[in-house]
Amino acid sequence: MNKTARMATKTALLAAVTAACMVFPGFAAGGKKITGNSSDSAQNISGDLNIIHYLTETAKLKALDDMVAGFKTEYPNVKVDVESTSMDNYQDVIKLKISTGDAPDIIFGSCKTYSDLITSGNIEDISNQPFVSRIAPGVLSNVQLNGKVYGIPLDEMANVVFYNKDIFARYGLKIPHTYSEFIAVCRKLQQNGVTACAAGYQDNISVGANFYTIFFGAPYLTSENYAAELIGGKSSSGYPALAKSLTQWREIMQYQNTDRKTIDTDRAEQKFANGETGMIIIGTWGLGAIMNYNPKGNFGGFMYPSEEKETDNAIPVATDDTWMLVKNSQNRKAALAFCEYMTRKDVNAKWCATTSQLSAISGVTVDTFPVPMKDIAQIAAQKKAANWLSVGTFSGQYDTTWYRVLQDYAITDSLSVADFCKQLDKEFAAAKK
Amino acid sequence: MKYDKIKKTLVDFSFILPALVFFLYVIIIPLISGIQFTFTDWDGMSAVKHFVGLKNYRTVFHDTDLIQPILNTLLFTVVTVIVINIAGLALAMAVSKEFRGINVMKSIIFMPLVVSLVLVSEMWMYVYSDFFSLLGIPSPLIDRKTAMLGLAYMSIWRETGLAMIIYLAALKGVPSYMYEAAVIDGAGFWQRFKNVTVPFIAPAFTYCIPLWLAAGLRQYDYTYIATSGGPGHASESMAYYIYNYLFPYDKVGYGQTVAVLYLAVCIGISNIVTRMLRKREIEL
Repeated sequence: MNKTARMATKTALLAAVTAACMVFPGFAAGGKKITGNSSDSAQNISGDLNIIHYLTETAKLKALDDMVAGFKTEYPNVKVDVESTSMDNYQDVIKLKISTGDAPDIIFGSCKTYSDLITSGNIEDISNQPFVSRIAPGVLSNVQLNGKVYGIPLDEMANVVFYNKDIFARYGLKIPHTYSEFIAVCRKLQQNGVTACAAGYQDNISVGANFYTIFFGAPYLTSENYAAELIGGKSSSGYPALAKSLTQWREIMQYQNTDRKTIDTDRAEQKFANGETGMIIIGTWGLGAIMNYNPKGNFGGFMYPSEEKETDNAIPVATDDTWMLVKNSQNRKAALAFCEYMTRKDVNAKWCATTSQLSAISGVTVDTFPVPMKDIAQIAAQKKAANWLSVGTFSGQYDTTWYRVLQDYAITDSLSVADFCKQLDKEFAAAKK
Repeated sequence: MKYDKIKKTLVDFSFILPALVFFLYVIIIPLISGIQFTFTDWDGMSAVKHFVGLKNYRTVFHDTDLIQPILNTLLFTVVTVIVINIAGLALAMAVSKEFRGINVMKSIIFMPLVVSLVLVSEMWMYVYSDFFSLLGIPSPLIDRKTAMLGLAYMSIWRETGLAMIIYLAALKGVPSYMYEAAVIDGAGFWQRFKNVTVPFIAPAFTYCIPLWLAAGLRQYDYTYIATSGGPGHASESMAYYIYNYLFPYDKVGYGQTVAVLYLAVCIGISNIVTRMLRKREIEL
């Protein structure tokens, strides 16, 4: 965007925001700003590098601080400003910043989920940058759009089931390998007065964590193009795998905490960490918080068995912490240097060790994972995996709608699978207006 | 003589000029500038905006998705305007008599107003979740039929103290001899309230009713924090509907069109109600 266009856009958005502010308050969203120090030693690259993210987990914040500190040691003339905001209003803040000419240099977020930023021409195509070759080939498609690379994934997450080994041992339970076995474990726990699974559907995080674990394994492999097809107008009732997953989810809800509709993910994690429940269905990103709540917890992890034949199961995996470079960044050199820095093997190994996540960079191995993560790393290496972010997912209005209908299904017991499909189809059709 | 009159008018005008310039720059000019987006398909991020003529306006008048947020907003507004004003007036009458501890009581009733909307929402989410569950009552926020009422109650809890203070100030202005005369004439409580209190505090109604009418029509914060418009669209207000199009949906052109039309409707409603109340005030 040239300067004139930037100014015009800035004025235009200010006008839009002001008009909207007259209708409702609380419009402007702010972020917490953490300013780094700069060093006086001379280097070739200098400038103010602005990074924005919505990370909240203690382990990830520490990993980011460490990475920024390491970068500043090597590039002392680059001043790094790291701005954090909540996930709830992250997209709003990013869009406001871009539209008002105050775009950061590096944005945290998945290329597929934030594809609207890419299609609107705000993210730089980094396909030709040398450090892109460091990204593991198996996950490169996760950061590609129309064949071009737009993001740097630092790690991979898996959607799994974490369980309390002590509770399992107390009731003589074994890791389930089929869906029937999983339900039998839930039933046994319930019969013994223990809530089987923790969940908190007040926020979309837990909604996604549960449903994505159930759907994005083996069921997803039968309907990889579901997102594009649904956006294109295909009815959601045309996916037996989706219906099967929704049915399983409804059945599992019977074994989840009774206050699941009114608590959030944090409290669900606390319930599991404190031993109030035997299991929690969640992404590996949640392990840091769980271990933080109970560092001495005797936990393990296993693949959610969606199928009745063990070998048919697949573990949902996807790139997790991803960074994108803003197009026409005023500090492009520093931003590229930061991208190069974070894809180095030693830097990435430290990131993954701190965050307890699987690396998305070729040749990086971590041997200091906590026990549950070791279980998952082993499963991901040995079992069938479903990389659900490789093809595509929803963004913009479709993403919001998808989550809203899923959350509605989670908190409204009377909604059937047919109701879900009808509602989703209706809202996707309405999104075309 | 004519020169003096013009000079006086200019001097008078100069006093409001700074505020007028500020108002024009911050409100009016951006508002008028914002109208241009209603003729585009701008996504809020791209440098390019395509002119679409009156398409957005035509879409608004065929948009059946607007019905639910309109009904939700009306329900919230009607409930909050009625309950806040009645409860505020009742409390004002209760605390208008001097007795020991009355100031502490007034402070306690007024206190929720100093709590931010966000904090009120978060606090009530806990109350509905944890406290209600102890009583065996399901949270109203997870039921389509009660979600909007659950949000309205948050507003009532927070705002009633302010209504009480306004009505209390108005009640202090009612001459005591009027009540004494009414008592001598044999008027009961209801007759004194209807024929003495209400006419004297009419200006307070003219202030309070439009105040909470406007607040209800632009309700956004409680929805955003507590329910995100759910379950489904059961607690989606008009302001939240507009927000969705301006930000998450990447449809600034359409969102702005709804915002402009809705602003016109809100101004119209506020104007009509205020005029009616002023007219009634004079009649009383």
